[in-house]
Amino acid sequence: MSISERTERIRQEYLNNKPSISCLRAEIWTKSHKETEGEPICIRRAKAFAEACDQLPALIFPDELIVGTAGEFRRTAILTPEFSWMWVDKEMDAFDQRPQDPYVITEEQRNFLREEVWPYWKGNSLEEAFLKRIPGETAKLLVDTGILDNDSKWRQAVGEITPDYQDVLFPKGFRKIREEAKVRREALKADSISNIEKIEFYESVIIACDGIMRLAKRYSDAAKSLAASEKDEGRKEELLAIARICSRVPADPPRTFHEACQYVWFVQLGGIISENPLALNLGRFDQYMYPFYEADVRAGRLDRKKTQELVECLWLKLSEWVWTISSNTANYFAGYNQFQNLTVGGRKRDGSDGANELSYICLKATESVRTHQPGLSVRIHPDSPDEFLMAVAELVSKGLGFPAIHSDRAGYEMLLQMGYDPEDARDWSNCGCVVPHFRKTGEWTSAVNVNFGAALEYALNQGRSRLSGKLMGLPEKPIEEFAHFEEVKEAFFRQLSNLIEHAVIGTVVAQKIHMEMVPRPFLSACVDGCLEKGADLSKGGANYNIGPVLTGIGLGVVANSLAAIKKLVFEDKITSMGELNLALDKNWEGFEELRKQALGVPKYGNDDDYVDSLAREISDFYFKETRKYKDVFGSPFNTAFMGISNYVPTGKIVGALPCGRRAREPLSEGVSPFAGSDVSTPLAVMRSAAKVNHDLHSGGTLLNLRLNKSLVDTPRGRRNLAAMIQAYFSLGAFHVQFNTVSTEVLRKAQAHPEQYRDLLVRVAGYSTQFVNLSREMQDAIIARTEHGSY
Amino acid sequence: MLPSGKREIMGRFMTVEEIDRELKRYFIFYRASGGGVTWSGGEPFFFPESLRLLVNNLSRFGISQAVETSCFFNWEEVVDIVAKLDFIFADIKHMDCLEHKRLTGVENSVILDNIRRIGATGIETVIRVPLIKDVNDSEENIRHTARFVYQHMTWKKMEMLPYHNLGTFKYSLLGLEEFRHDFKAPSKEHIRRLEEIIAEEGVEVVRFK
Repeated sequence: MSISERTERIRQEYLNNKPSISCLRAEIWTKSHKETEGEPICIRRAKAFAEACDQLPALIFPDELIVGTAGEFRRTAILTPEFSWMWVDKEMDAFDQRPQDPYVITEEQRNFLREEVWPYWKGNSLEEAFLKRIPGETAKLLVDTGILDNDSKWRQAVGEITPDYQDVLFPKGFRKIREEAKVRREALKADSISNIEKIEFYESVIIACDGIMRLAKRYSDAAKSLAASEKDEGRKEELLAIARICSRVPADPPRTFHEACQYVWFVQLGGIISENPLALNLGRFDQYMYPFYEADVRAGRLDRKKTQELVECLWLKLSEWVWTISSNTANYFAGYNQFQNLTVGGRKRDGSDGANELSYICLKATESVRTHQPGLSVRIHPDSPDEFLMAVAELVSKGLGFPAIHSDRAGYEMLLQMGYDPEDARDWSNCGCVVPHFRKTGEWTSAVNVNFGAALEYALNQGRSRLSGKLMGLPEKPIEEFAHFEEVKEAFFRQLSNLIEHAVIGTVVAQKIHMEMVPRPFLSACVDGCLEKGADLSKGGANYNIGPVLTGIGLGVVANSLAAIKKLVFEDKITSMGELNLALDKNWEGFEELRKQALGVPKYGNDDDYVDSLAREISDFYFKETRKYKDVFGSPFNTAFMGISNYVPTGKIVGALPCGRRAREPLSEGVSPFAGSDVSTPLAVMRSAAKVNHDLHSGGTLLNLRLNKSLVDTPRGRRNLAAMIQAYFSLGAFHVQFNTVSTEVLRKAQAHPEQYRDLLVRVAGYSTQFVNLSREMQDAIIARTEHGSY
Repeated sequence: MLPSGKREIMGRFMTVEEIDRELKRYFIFYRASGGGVTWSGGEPFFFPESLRLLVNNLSRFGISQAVETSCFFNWEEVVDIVAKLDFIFADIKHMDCLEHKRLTGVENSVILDNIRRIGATGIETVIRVPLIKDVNDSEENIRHTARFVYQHMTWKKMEMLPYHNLGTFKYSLLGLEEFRHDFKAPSKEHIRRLEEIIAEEGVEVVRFK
């Protein structure tokens, strides 16, 4: 239950309002661009942003203490036609009916978009540029296929930024950032291409800073005028306070906790208006907010309850705005999830423990408002306070799927491995779902999803898709001619390498177009390095530029399948490659006995080296192969085994596999076992998963477990959970998250969604409302093994 | 054995080596939890040779070990195993010798002798009473048990275990339908009263849940 009646009322608004498309941002953006033809692209984007800051409605909803909306609705979804209007046009007639993440849109809005907005962007969107420039060979594998997927990098903005509150935003305020840009701009003469580009960049930053400051001023005025007509004395006071706060931040450094909260939301709002981003993270909130909390408490301005209420108000704000995404992307990132990650706990830059009272307040806020945002992550290290561990276990026991639990040490090792300075590496926070990240960084943390199941299929089926019959991979000899297991494995590696190469091509082409078309003046003002270098984020302005991450999907299922081939064909000689091929072609129909034997071969997730060693070998190979490539900034590509909901759509294009999996069933997510094949104990799963070299896969490694709720109902149970987490991390692993609802409850929620609107489940890298998931996602979650004992 | 006459194996046979290997996987967890292994059953002391091998091996690694036992065993045969344990849960089902015989088929003298010996070792021990309504839950029986514990045990601790029905399905599976009892647990209030009595006798009431 929310901490106050106020936050409970806001929460009910959040639960009962349907996500609605607002055309306002697209309308303003289009109009502005019509007026700025011929000007440098970064200036045009900045001017459109400033226009939006001036013209979007400055709405303050009842009860709010933190204010600011990207459109006229409580749950506003905005449109960004500069990235893509085509998918919106194609899909918007069915927006309210699509199974995953529907939106409300009216006939009038659709007509307006088709008549007034789309025509201007036709031929000029990022999506169209990408589709024109991507080589045909790569397009065949990359565009809406389920084999390689990177459409979130050309149908939407990149996002994946953690604004730097510690060193940029809070100490300077946008007034000073603007001033700095101005001083740097004035020191330059337009006498070289590089200087011209710098000048343009600084001017874009100045315009963006002016925009966000004017937006805040408008909210200040709006609060003042609301206060004038407000009858309720208490609310009048609140509105006057909001007016004062919005006249201070984000132009100038915050002085109080409330000002700092409002500041944070203005930065989020600026990011949303500027590009509708995925994974605009809040970073180490408990660290950079603590000084304000402490000072307020000491001065008697704030108590714990009031702090809790403010934090919950912010949580609700983060949950209200809606990410607008295509139905294809929605299959990969299901549940209206914007991936605004917020990290608490963990070591500070100096190595001492950073858990403080705010860390607990954040955990409590997630428990009490039960919303899907922010994506709450915790960092745990061997010396984390017991209080903190128990608070984490307590939140796990609530069955919300939060928090995502990370090893402080493994995150640190991943950042060192990527080349960060040790102090910066220690100061990591999460990006998106489970990506260890640092705020002074430009990085595509989720560049491409790579379907391992498809690679195996092409190895076994002469390069062809089993379902479509089309040649999608490299040609291979007929399966009967594989004489040794090693040959099979090498064929898989060859096919995987081919997919990696095309994933790289798809990414580099997209990066180049982003440099040309999608400057990010507002967010560049929020990240350290851009002003100093005079370069936009999209051009490598950040202090660190880290290579894009290729996410592998289906590690468990491929390891299982290779193990099955090894054992059944080459060791026990129970079957032949030919017969196995036939069984896969027939989707196991008529081969029930063989399928039973395939299912009997050791499966990843049971601490059996027979198959786990294959998972390790595959993941090591994936890292080495991916690392051969460099991105447009010269940074090596990185690997990840993280989730999102990608294991469901990627499974749909893969036929039956030797492990016994049937055609079109989901693959496996992250480093988790194939659903239902972890029949031992959670600890066995963890031992299997920890055999993967987590430090290599610096884009994050995700393990998802479901526990029966009764296991964590007592302090002793929660203590054991904490010990299990520590045990897993001591093996070098990076992340684990738990769903602790019972299967019975999930089935009830399927039958009576109206009664379970606030039931949160951990999908993969994040939690969301169970009822917001499509039926098949719900079934996939129910299918995950529920462990009844440790 | 299922009612259809078909056998169904509920557990699996494991050699001492296999059990040992399986347990070692969990050491990583004990490191973090401070936990260890509890030997249970059945009656673990019915298999002294296997238990000895397992207990000796684990104690070599300093793993904490507990046992749940009826204490109905030959002391001389297992004394060396007992000495290596860190914690013992021992049952006293009834203090009255004849009642004990009526309820379980054996007298309680061997059991009480063994518990006295355990008491003398100084190993941390909890005496448990599986409470069945109107069978062994009289105030008198519990006071008697508590006095025994106070007098003979180094660690003066008791735990009340109310009867539960989770095992009744096994009677029909085993074809022992005629032995099925309609036992009930005492009321919560009564258990609380019994726990007060235990405390009055200077014995600590504990709950391992």
